Amino acid sequence: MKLKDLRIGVKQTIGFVCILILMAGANFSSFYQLFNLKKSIDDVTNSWLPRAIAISEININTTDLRQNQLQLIFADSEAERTAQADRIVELLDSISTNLDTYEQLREQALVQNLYSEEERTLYAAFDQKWDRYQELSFTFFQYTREDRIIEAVALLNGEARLLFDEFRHDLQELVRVNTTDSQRAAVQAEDAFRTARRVAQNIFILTLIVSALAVFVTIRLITIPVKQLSNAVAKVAQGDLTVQLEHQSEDELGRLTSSFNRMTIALREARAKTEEQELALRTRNAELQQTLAQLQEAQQQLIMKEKMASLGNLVAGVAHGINNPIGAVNSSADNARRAVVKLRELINGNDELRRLVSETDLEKLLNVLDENTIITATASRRIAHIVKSLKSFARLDEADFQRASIEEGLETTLTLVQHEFKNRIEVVREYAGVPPILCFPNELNQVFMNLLVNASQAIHGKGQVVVKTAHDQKWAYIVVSDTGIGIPPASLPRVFDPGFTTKGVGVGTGLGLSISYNIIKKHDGTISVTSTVGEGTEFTIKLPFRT
Amino acid sequence: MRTLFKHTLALLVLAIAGGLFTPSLLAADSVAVIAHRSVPEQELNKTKLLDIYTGDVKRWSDGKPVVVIDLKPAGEVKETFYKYLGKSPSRMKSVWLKRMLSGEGDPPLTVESETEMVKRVAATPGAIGFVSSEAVNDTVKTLAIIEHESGGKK
Ligand SMILES: Nc1ncnc2c1ncn2[C@@H]1O[C@H](COP(=O)(O)OP(=O)(O)OP(=O)(O)O)[C@@H](O)[C@H]1O
Ligand SMILES: [Mg+2]
Repeated sequence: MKLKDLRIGVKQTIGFVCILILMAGANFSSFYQLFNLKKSIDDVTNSWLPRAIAISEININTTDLRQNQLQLIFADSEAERTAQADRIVELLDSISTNLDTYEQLREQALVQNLYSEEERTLYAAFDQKWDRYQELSFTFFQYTREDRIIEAVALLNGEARLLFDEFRHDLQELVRVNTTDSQRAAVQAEDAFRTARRVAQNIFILTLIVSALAVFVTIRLITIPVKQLSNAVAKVAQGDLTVQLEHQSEDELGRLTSSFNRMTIALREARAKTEEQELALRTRNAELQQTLAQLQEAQQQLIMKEKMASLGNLVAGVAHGINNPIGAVNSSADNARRAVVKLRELINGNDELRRLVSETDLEKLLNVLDENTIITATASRRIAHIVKSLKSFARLDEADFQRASIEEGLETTLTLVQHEFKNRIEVVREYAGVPPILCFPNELNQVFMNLLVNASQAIHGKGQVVVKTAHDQKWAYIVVSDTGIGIPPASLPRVFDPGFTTKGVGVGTGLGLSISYNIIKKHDGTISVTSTVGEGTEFTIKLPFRT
Repeated sequence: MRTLFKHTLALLVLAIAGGLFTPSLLAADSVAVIAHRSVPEQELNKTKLLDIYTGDVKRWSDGKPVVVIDLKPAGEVKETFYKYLGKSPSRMKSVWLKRMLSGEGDPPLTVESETEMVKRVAATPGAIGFVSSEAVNDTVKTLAIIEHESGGKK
């Protein structure tokens, strides 16, 4: 198992323990060095220094002793002598005490190995000389007691003096030895202190490094993966399901990573499934919509057929009904005209009658008669023309797919909307003489009718409608343009929608263009519109020639 | 007869010492505290001996004055004796000097050798001294035997 696969808690614990061990090491080392330091200081304060002090005391005391011995020689009175003797006793006491102190310290120092061979030799030499000095002192005090002053002085300045100088030198040496030793201890103490400081510094730096390392490792092992994970989660939240994370470790984060990866895979699958279902749904929906549209179209065509059928019946009935009376009116007018012609011949052949006519208003009446028979004939001819147009618009007799002239169809339709246009709208024809095409003429007539009615409704007041045809080898073009109010761009795409109307309820059904669109589609043609509000609208129909 | 006694004694000490030492070595190592035969005391403990040598005790139990004798040359015997007393010779001299100065008595008499010590003790009533066990004879009485502290010859 590698380090990175350990649990995060374990990782942190390891880091913690490392730092703890280092700190403990630092403390232990510091304590150890401090112990050394303390020992060195103790050695100096408890061993060498007191020894040096004791020896120094002895040195001073022995000097005093010698001085007092000299003074004792020359003591004038008994009292002075006693005082000197007391003083000497005190000094001897002090020397003994200091020697006791020194020897006790020496015992300890021997145990602690703080007593050098040099010091031992020096002290032994001193002790021997001090012994001898005291022996001489017995004699000396003997002399003073017996007032043998000259001998006392000789003794003190003779052998005693030599001894004194010698042991004083020993004492000084002892002080020196102890001082050097204490200096050595001080140096050791300083060394220990330096070492402690250095070790503490090193461990401090090491702790810093290890801490930094721990932080680094924490960042590498925890923070970075967490960041990657959160980034990945953010991506997933934005909908990117292709995110996959590299599996780096076996710890909690590693397991989280694999869970995350499994999650994205699952999400991806789920989304794919949803999309599939959605697609199926949409297809189904589109099919439904198409069916609906087909249904609507069928319904419209049914309605139209019905309309046309009833209109056709009506027109057929009306035409039939009108045809006979018109025939009668026509032949009557013809008869009347012919009668007037005969009447004039008669009048012209008879002078009397001619005179009579010129004398009366008869001539005038004849003229009225003439005029009216002509008007009647013209009107009845027009009626006959309209009836013929009605019949041809309805094309009741020719509802089949056949070759027919578009321009003829346009003319027929224009005749029917003539009364709508009247003097208000000027019709401009620009026919190109398009050859007849295979079509359902009555249905195309319906389309033209619709366009012309819409144009007339779009023109408020006076205006112009241009009806234009053109063709190339494949296509026949019919363009109907007006100078009406135009269609706002927002409405333009909707004009062919069934039920779209801007005209009030009852005026428009909104089916006109929709039906036209279907008819053109049935003819494999197209119908399109361009419009500028306030200027006018132009519908273009494109129909194929069939061969 | 005397040698027989001596050997018996030596063997006895040898037995006590656990058979580790030869008689001659043993004799060199122990120090005898000797006194004039007239001294009433049969034996002396360490405190008493120290008191006598420092001059605190000046008379024997029969009231006769104590005469302390010191061995002048330094050596194993002197060292062993003073170590037993717990005072080095020089320290002891300080004590004696003080006594002398305060008029409490003179320092002990000194002899130059063990033979002289025995002779002097035998000749001086109330005298007390110390010699190696080897040097002891019938002219004096032994008040204590001091074993060498380290227990053997180095
Ligand atoms: N030439 C035109 N100029 C301006 N707007 C037009 C023109 N032709 C059609 N439109 C607009 O298109 C709409 C739809 O026309 P469509 O012929 O389909 O229905 P309608 O004319 O409103 O009703 P209906 O034809 O049943 O009387 C109209 O309401 C009108 O707003
Ligand atoms: Mg319309």
